Amino acid sequence: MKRRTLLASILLLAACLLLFGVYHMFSPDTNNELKHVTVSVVADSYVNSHSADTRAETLYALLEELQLVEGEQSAYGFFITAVEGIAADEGLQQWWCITRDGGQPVNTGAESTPLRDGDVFELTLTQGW
Amino acid sequence: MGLIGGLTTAAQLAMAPLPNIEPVSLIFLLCGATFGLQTLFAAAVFVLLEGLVFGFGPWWFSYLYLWPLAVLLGALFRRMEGALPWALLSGFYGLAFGTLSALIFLPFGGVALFFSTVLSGIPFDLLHCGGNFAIMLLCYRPLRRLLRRYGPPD
Repeated sequence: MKRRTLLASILLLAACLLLFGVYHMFSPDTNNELKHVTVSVVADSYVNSHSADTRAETLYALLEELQLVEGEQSAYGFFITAVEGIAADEGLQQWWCITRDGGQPVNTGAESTPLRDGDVFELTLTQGW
Repeated sequence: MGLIGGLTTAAQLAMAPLPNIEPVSLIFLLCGATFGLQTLFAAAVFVLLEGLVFGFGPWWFSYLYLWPLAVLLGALFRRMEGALPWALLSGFYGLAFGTLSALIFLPFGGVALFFSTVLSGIPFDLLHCGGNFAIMLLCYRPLRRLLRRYGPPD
């Protein structure tokens, strides 16, 4: 193996390990303490709010606990297809968007979104990918 | 080039169920190495078709610079030979993909949204890196040989 190739191999491995470490260091932890969490469902003019005192650790666990969502498991994680029985129409490019605290983007799927006391989430039926 | 763009889209759609395991980096890197900047036309066709299939969401705008970048990298490293060096290049590209695509969020959500997007995407970047590395390692020899038949002489 050429020296440059060997060096590049080491660099790539080091970069992967560094990112792995950064992910574990900065990713928020889950906990099973009691927390008060609110989830609002928004579909066009329909708005409904659900509050719960829960020990669920992730948003997905809470949504399951409240029996709010239907969906399917994929290689990317749980994909929400319906909330409160309101199904997203794929033909219209509709999907359920998760935000928090009045519209702040959530960059994680429901399964990897940890819950904290006082969290407020919105599930909004959104059109256009 | 139009045909390469169309075939790349078909190949990408076929592998879409696998998270961040894709043949697009392989094709654009090696086509960039063989056909040079002409491959940008294939990348343009691919990016347009992706928008038509999946919609023109914010992610789509990052494709406007990400896939041309793969072509440019391929053209830049065109004299490099061997499956392992190309697999490493493709691996680096896959690892950086998430961070580069998150740049599109900087004007909308600022640095905080950029970093949170990068952080939450790290597991997918690692998969992308591994997938790119393995696919290039497996396909480099047959695909490079095939493309050289149609490309200009070295």
